[in-house]
Amino acid sequence: LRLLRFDKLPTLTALVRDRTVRLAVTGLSHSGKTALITSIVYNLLGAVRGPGRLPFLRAAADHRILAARLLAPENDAVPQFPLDETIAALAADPSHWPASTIDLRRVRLALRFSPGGLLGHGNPIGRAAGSIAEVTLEILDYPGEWLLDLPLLRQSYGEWSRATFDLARRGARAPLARDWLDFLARHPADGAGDAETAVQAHNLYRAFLGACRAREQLSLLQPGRFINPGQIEDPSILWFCPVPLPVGGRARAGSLAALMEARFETYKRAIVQPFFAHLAHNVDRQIVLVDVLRALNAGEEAFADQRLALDTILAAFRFGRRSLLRRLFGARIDRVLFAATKADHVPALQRDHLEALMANLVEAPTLRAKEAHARVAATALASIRCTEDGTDAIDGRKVDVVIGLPEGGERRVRFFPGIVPVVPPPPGFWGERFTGFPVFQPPRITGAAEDGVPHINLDKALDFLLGDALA
Amino acid sequence: MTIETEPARERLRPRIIETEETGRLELNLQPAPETNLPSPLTRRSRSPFAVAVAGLGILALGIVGIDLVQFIDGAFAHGAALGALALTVVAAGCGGAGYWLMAELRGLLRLRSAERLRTLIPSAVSSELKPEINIAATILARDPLLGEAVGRYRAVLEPHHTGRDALELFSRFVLAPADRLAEAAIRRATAQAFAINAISPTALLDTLLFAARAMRLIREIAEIYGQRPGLAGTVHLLRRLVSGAGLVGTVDLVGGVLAQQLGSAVVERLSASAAESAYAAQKMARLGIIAMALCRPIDFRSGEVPSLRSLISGVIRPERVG
Repeated sequence: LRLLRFDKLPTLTALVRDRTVRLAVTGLSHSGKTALITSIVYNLLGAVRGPGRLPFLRAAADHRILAARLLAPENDAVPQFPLDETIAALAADPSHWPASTIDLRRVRLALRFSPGGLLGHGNPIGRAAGSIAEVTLEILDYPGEWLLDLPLLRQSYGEWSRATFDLARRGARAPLARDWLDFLARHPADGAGDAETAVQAHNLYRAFLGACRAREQLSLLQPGRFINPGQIEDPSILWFCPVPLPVGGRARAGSLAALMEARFETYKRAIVQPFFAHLAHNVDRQIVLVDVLRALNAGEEAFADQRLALDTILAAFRFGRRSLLRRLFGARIDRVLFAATKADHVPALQRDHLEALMANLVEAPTLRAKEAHARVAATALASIRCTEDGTDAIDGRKVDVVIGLPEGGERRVRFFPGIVPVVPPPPGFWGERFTGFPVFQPPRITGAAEDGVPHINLDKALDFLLGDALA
Repeated sequence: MTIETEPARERLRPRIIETEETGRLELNLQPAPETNLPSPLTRRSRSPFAVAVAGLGILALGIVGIDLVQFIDGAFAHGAALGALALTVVAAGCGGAGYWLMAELRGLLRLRSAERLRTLIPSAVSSELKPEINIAATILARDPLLGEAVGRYRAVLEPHHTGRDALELFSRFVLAPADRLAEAAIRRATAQAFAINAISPTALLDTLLFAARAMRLIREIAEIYGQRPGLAGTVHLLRRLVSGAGLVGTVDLVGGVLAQQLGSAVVERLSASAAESAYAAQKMARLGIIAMALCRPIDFRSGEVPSLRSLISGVIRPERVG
């Protein structure tokens, strides 16, 4: 009986309310995943002493978060999120942006809180039950490009190749794909499949994808691991690319097409499937970051491509029995937040527009999610706020601008981001492309967790994603 | 945004404007300072009744003034000491009356300011909302019970928050505590209405006591929302309360549903007279909700109106206040 320590037994509140929330953070390239995770962790750690920094997170605003601490990494294959490095980058003089996400990473923190309602401290039942609970928040970080691989699982090599060729021959992709397409024209798909030719074709295809992203700001670039490979033990798994195959045609044994097809199937089996199985079993909330503003100003094709990529991602999160994630892996993701990032690049009034535009882009899946009793929401946020609002005159018109210090610069600039439409713009909207988006220097943080990080709407996002767990 | 009407060539494109300013930004800005109360009411055309009342008021003041001057003059005629005493007495009376008038005017102006704000906020665009809400915060900051809540609101409000954000924060940090205070006041009044009806020997006395308690409740609620109405303010509130027939009808409908749900339980537990008392309590609660709706500087949003059930439950099950 002496071994039974009553003070170590969990309270009734802990039994009822303790839980783990697994939040996956992803986003298309340079959408700010690392900054978001740093800001979430730092602001939650600082929520105890500075609850006013997260006024829209009810638990923080009500002073119900009692303690927050980082947890030691779990002893498994997922590497720890490099929080120390990101903090060091933001605390440096001059501060700079931390390195981007290139692989799967995780950070865990525990939040002790006083629940509201019946189990709360203000209620006699809550006081009798212990009135303190703990939420463990696991944040999983992975490159958003990997999400674009999910549809490959239900596509054959032939189907994927035809869809990719169809895209590559159109619009802004066509001139960028010329070298790769010329190479494939010289090396027919039904010719002898030697490894050297496959590697050359793969390299050209990969260079084409890289150019699509860098020059045209396109988003629908498959396979995602060609952009962000992560840690792959055998890089030869990636040495494939689409080749022209007729509808209904099969690759001849020993041909280049057969070699590519075999590698494509291995890629799906060895890389894509295990990743999504892990994701499905270890995630119950998802935030998808989208740099809507950059795509909007990069032109009609970049915007349409981002929309297409978003639809592809959304297909993975289609709720209910038809969800691919659920059908294949039994996923139980019940909340997805789509966030238009870099909201500090637009002044306050346009921020409402940005949020409305994001909501419009995910309107259909939001309705589907409601039918399946799941929740999808959209917001505009800046994980780390770098600017302040101001006004200026352009062509005799008074306009709202944002003011910030460009990274590496000495003089502040006033940035007018153009007009953000509230709905996907019609053809007449598009004018000259603007790709010179300023990269503002992040604010220098002190390195002390209680000081938090300035942000825009991070608290709204947290309230949506964690509000029920901290209620 | 005018994407439909503005041709592409006239639309302003994104651009970066160089400045001479140097150095990093200080992004942890202090909350915005308080602004002054809104300007007094705008000039309106006078109604004949108001002109007549003003004229008669001036006449009465003139008569009283002349009488007082004659009174003081007469007192001085009987001696300097008596004259000085009369002057002091008249000065004290005029001072008291002036103070009361000023308090009445201040209360009425504050009430009108809150009403103006309530009509402005629904139509205000996002950029106009913040200053309007700041005015509401300034009104409520004078309430000793809500001063701290307003301080918390101002502490969390940052320049980057939009008007909608400010409205949401104001509702959470200021109006929610004010609503809880108002609900506590309604519960107290509801319990007293229940008791008054139960012990009152006659219907007339019952009605008089109910009316007096209802009047006190209205003034209490108005004070919670920072309005401190005097006699004129209370009359104004009562007039608005009577004119809010539509709202009363809505609440009646809700009350009817509640009566159906609670009726059998109440009748089983209590005598017929106690059931009447419960109905009186329900009426008081309805009145309180209407008074809240009239006095709040911002209209109730969906889901914010307190339910009659929660307010009346305190009559049967004693409510812990504070």
